[in-house]
Amino acid sequence: MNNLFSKGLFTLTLISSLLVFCIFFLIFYLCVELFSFEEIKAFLTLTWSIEEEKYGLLVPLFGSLFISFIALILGFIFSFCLASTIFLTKSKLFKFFLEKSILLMATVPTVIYAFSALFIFVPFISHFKPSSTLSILVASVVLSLLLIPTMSLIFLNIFNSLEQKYMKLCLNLSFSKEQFFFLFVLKNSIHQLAQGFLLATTRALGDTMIILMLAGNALAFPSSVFDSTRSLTSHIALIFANDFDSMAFKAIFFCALLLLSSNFILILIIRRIRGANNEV
Amino acid sequence: MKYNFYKFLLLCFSLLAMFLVYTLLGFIIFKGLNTISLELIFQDTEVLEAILFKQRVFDGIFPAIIGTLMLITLSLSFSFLFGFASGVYLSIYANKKLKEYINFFFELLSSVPSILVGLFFLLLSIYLHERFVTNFLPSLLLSSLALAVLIMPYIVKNTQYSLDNIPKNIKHLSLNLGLSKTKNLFYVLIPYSSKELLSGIFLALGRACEDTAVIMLTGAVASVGIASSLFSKYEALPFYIYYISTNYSDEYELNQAFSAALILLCISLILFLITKLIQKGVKKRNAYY
Repeated sequence: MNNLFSKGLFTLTLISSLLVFCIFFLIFYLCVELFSFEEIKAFLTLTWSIEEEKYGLLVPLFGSLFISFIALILGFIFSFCLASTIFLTKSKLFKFFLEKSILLMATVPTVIYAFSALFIFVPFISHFKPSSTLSILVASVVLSLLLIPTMSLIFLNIFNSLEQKYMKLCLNLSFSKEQFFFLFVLKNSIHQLAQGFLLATTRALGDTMIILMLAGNALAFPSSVFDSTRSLTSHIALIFANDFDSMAFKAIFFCALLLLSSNFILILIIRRIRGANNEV
Repeated sequence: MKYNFYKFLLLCFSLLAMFLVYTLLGFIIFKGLNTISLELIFQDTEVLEAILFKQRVFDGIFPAIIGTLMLITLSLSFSFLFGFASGVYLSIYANKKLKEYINFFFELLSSVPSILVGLFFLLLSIYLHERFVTNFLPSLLLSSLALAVLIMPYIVKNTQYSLDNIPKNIKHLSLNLGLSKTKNLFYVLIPYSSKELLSGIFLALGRACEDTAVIMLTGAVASVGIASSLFSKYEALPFYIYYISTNYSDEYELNQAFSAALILLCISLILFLITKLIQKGVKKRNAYY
């Protein structure tokens, strides 16, 4: 009975854990079956136009990277500042407020951020720069807010665990809490900070709704942060095609493959960092 | 002295982030509260009749609310068995090496962008439809299956975490008294950590009700009323908000979207509060041991 039960559980576990490979293999299989070298070359150009039969994916690719990059820098600054303020502040009430706000932010649906930003940030930006409406800037600022919970909770965890381990030692050496934080904690948490940053990168690359609603989805190469562009994810969402053999559909697989493999690589790097840290 | 300056900088950026977030949320709450009315939700249908499903509501937000609720319950029921079983297996039965590998797989699964999960199910349905003519087209069923895949890693992680965190004396007590592992699981471990397990379910529900990218590809549409079966298309709040934000023609529709956003925000906040309350109760109880 005992044995049977555990075997049943094992089967269920195996099925659910192998799902990720089903996703990967279906997309990979469709890619291998459909692609030739020439087609991949055709994807790596700038123009996307179904009428002219041009299927360049470089604009969405750069769009994804560009928006995520700005959002990650902003998000990192915000999350680092929030985590450090929570760690350093002496006011219990303020600490409580910030902590609960971060948890709250993790539950707010992304579509609500994007919808609200459409009516606040977009008019605000176009007030100063009338030519710009939906732009990379708005999308990255809102995306950075989305990344705050992911990063700042990880940062806070590291700070707190270091405090538990070493705070007493440092207090005995007559360090103040500020000195302890700036001289000791920061130097010893770089690996975990990087880990949080990479995890947030997977979220930034994978987000669809904010970029779809706020970045404008233009297919021209952006020349500044006030221009509009699209990302790989919104490109997938915007192209509806039902024919397996059409080039547009193949392009979607290629986008999917790029996203999936970049996220897998990031997760592998995160595990590598974590493994190296655990050994020390 | 120098640290005070740094601290000031940190504080400024934190306040800026909080300001941005609360401006966005405050705007939705303000606008939503100003516009929300029974008419926007039910149109001219009688409220009681609509809630009892005696009359159909065609144009209001009500079908979208029901659609969202159906969607999250269905996806939870699909993912619960698998997620829970995997969590239990990983925590109680698996050896260390296997645990590490399977955890890695789940980590990969949780890193897959939600739109790709949607794309996967869309492809699957097209593929099955072309090869064997089936009814497996974009529908409520397909969406809830896709969402189930998306929330499963959360359930696995939470189950595993709460079972792992049971104090060792309780974990081993009845094993030493001669209970088998399975009986120990059902009579001791699950009752002991039932509240944590429950909070994980609400966490997963919260995650399910917010996702838009998945349902966009797998069967959500803007106006069909309440889904009549598992195989029909349906409305859902997040998709409704997205649709209106790109296609609105007048003030009235926009007001509907604001109310829908407020309702969606409330649903996710309620789920969040329930999770937190359960977790708080757990902390209090643990203090006794």
